[in-house]
Order: sequence, then C-alpha cells, then structure tokens
Amino acid sequence: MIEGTDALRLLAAERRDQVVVTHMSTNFDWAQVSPRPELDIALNGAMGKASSLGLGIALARPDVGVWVLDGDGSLLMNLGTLVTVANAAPKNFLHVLYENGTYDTTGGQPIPGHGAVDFAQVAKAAGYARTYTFEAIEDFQNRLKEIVTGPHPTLAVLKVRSRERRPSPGIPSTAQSYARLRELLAAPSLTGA
Amino acid sequence: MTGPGHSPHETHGSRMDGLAALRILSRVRKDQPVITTMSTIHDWSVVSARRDLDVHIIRPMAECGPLGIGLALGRPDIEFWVLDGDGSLLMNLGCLVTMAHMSPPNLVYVVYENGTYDTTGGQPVPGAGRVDFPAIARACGLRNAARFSRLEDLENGLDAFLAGPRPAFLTLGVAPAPRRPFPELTDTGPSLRRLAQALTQRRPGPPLPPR
Repeated sequence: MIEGTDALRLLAAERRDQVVVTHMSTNFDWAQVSPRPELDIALNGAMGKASSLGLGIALARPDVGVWVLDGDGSLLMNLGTLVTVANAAPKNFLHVLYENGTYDTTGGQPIPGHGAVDFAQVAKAAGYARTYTFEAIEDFQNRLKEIVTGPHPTLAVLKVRSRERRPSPGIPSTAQSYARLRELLAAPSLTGA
Repeated sequence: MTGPGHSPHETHGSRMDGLAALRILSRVRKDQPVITTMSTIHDWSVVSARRDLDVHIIRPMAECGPLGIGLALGRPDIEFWVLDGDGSLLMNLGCLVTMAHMSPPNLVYVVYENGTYDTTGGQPVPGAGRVDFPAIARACGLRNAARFSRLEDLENGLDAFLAGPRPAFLTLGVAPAPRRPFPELTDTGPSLRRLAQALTQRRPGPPLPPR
C-alpha cells in the first residue's frame, strides 16, 4: 500500500508545464505538493468527470501534456470514459488513478467492488496504450519516467492508503481556475510537455 | 481465452447475423423475463416465443442493466435475462461493477455488440471493434464472460456457457443492420406493468442457489 502524498510528491518532481486536473481526494493531496498550482485545475461539483475534462483539454491542446489525478470512486461513476479516451487516443494524456477503495471525501464509505475490480485491466481492454498497477512506492518510482513519457494514453493505478476526510484544500474553485487556465494556455510561453 | 465455449478464432471485431444469434438464444429461453433495449427490442421481438414476458426499455437508454440487477435482487427465485446493446452499455459501463459486487446468481447479461448506434442511424460506437467487452467484464469481477461471433460457435458453446457461474456475461458480436421500426406493444411503461403483473402471479419460491 502506498502513501498517496508520497507518490504525488514523486510525480510533482517530474512535472514541467503539464496541466493537472485533480478531483476529490487529490484536490487536497496534490495541492500540498504541486510545484505549479497556476496550471492545476481542481474539479468540484461534477464527480466522475475529471478525465472527461482532461480529455477535452488534451484534444484542444495536443501540444500540452495533461495529467488527470482521478479517484476510484469517481472513475466508477464514469467508467465508460476509459473507452472514450482510448478511442480518441490522445498522445498527451496521462491518467493517474488514486485507488484508496473508499469515498474519503464523504467519510470513508467503501466503493463497490473494491479489491475485485482491476482498473488497469479495464483500461487495457478499453484500448489504453499502457496500463500499470502499483502497490509499492519503489516500483512506482522506478517506472515513473516511462509513465510520464508514454506512449499515451496511459493509466497508472496507485493503490493508496485510505485517509481521513481532508479539510478544504484552500485552492481556487473550478470556475476560477477555468479563466486562469484559459489565459495561461493562450500565452506563448507555455510550450507544452 | 474468454471463458467456456470461447472460440480460439475469436477477435473483437468479427460479427455474425444478429437475428440468427438471438434465435439460438430464444430456443433455450423458458419463462425467464427478458429485458430488451434499443436494437434488441426489435430483433428479440422477431424471435421471442414469450413476448408477454419481454420488457422494452426505450427510455432511459443504458438503464436496462440496472433494471435487470434490481429485478434479479427483488425476485431471487426467478432467472432474468438482459439483452443490452454495446452503445447502451458504454453509457453505463460501471453497472458491470455493480453487478459483480451484488452478484445475483439469477442474472444472464447479454451484450448485442453491433458496433453501431443502429436505432439512431448507424453511427459507430466509440472503440467499435477494439473494445474487449468480456475482458472488461472479467476485470470488473465477473468470472463467467464470453464472446461469440460465429453462429456455429454459439450453437456449440451456449449450453456450457450458461452452465457456468452467475451472473453470466455474454457478448454477441453481430452485424449492424439498418434502422428498424420498434414493433407494436413496445412502450416501456406498459411492458413493465405487464411484467409486474406476471411476476405477481408467480408465487415466490426459494432463491436460486449461488453458482
């Protein structure tokens, strides 16, 4: 079992100017480690749709890397997104799944099928270019470079420890982030990953 | 490898005649209620010998799986069949996890995989010919998942498949067909009321055993 923030810290060290879409538990956890919060967008109020939003950005800006930090409970609400992503086959799309087995943000209720569902296999059967599952932080660290490099779309499943409900991350709302991100993406200085 | 009766020649993209495949299924159907949706509403009605036990889900699209799970849980003494479409299932793929999680032993789930949205004019579904539905079902926790796309394989393998663990997940790789009209008596509401009445008349028996 991985400590989620440890894995996110490793990921953050590899992050250049990718846009990072976070969701539910990762809204808080990523905010603790993100080196470029101005390029982060925390999705609130549309549970399950982080990958759909990320896919849209990836298709609109194929020159920019997009990372989606999804949750297992969220992905289950929108499982067909794996087929949509695989079908669109964006070369700039990294999907990280924070599999904690619970709905942490609503108090730790177990998700359906926890332990029986193999998300990497679902993504593979849907047509993702690469899929990984990690239960140990060392394994994740060893493969991190290739995970970030691709070929994409990639799904990397991190089996992370369930944690207490986190406080509000104290970051901009989704609506506030849209405007900021749109402006940054329009700027010529952002060359992409 | 996709389970009992699976043909070694199977690929995701291959296709057989849908009506002929459903005719094979209808031969082993006894008095199971069958929940149909979109393309299978028309095609199953052509071959069904018990239309009084068929339900037609026109709206809401993609909810015939959850309806089947609910019926199976509500009447554990009766076997139910769901005839879903691939386009419909993609709209609600997570229901496979729900099904595996609840694991009703009295449910047979069939996906009529024609690769297109036939009822809206034949647009291709995302991932058509590449998505491996039985592999997705297995990854969701359903142990008994198979795909047939040749009539002779279906004919030879159906019994062994149906004798396997439940809930059972069967994909039929079928050829797309032109848009066809819904048959008479297919409104969702009346078909549900008709089934409710038929089920009320069946005295509840002991639950079907896990398998």
